[in-house]
Amino acid sequence: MKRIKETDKEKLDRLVDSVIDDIQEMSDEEVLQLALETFGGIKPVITKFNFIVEQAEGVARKRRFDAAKEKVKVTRESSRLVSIVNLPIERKKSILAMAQRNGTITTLAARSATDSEADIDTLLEDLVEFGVIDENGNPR
Amino acid sequence: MEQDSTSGYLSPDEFLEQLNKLPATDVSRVMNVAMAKYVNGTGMEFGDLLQESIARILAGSRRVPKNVPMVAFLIQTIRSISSTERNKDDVALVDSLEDRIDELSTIPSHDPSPEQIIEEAQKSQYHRNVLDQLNAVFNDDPHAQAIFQGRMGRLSSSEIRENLSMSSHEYDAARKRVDRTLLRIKAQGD
Repeated sequence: MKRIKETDKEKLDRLVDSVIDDIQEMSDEEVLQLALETFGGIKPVITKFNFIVEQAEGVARKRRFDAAKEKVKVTRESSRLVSIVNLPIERKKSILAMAQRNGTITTLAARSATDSEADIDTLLEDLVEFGVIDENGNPR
Repeated sequence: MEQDSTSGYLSPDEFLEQLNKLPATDVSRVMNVAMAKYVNGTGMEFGDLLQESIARILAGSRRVPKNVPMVAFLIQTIRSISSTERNKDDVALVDSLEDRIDELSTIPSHDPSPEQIIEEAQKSQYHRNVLDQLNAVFNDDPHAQAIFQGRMGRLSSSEIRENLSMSSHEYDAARKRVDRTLLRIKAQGD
């Protein structure tokens, strides 16, 4: 069996990890000296840090907004689906019959969906999701 | 944004408030850790890495436990994100293109694409270059060279010190030179 040799990446990982451990344990005096040597002083390091925090706030705001938008979309979608499945069974069957007549669904699909109300609901939910009918069963 | 304020976690607002009050020493700590991870070849510029770490906490995808020091948590987040970023495209533990080509002759077709192999070779070359640069810098500094080699070779501080009969003062001074050199390689290079 071939022995996997230690890579430069692993060696560098260990070296960097040891430097990070050092940074965490450094005295305040030493860590301020490090700011000077790495970033040219404490003022530049704070300016850069504040800029990064500001940028991060913008990114986070956008992510939260996108997540909220997605949630609204999902809620709206599920409420549309809830509406269609709450219609009376006779109305659901007439919607299916109509979809079959105008060729939106096949006879076979319509027939297999008449086995149970759950099957009918699934088919109607698909029709709503595909934008064929609205949540009240009216053609779009 | 105010959720979690009564739970065991900081709310994003509380985190931001603490972040804005961070003392200069902690700012330097966090910035230098991000720089060290950048030297590590994360694939993200150091500022982007820190920004992403903070953004994830502010967006609520990472929650800061109240009983964990905030700076320690932020540093851990930087480490974790950089590690994920760095390893996501890795295909195998080899360290040169030649090794990879040798192995290809025995590996079936589901193996990496030529693009992946080239990318991996470039990453390997990057790691090699950083180590070569450090090695060259420490060439005339035996104590720093010993720490550099010892750390890569999994030796503890006391093992390195004992092997070279270094005083703790000598060790500490050389350790600082190693830390600073590594951090300045990217800050002053590129």
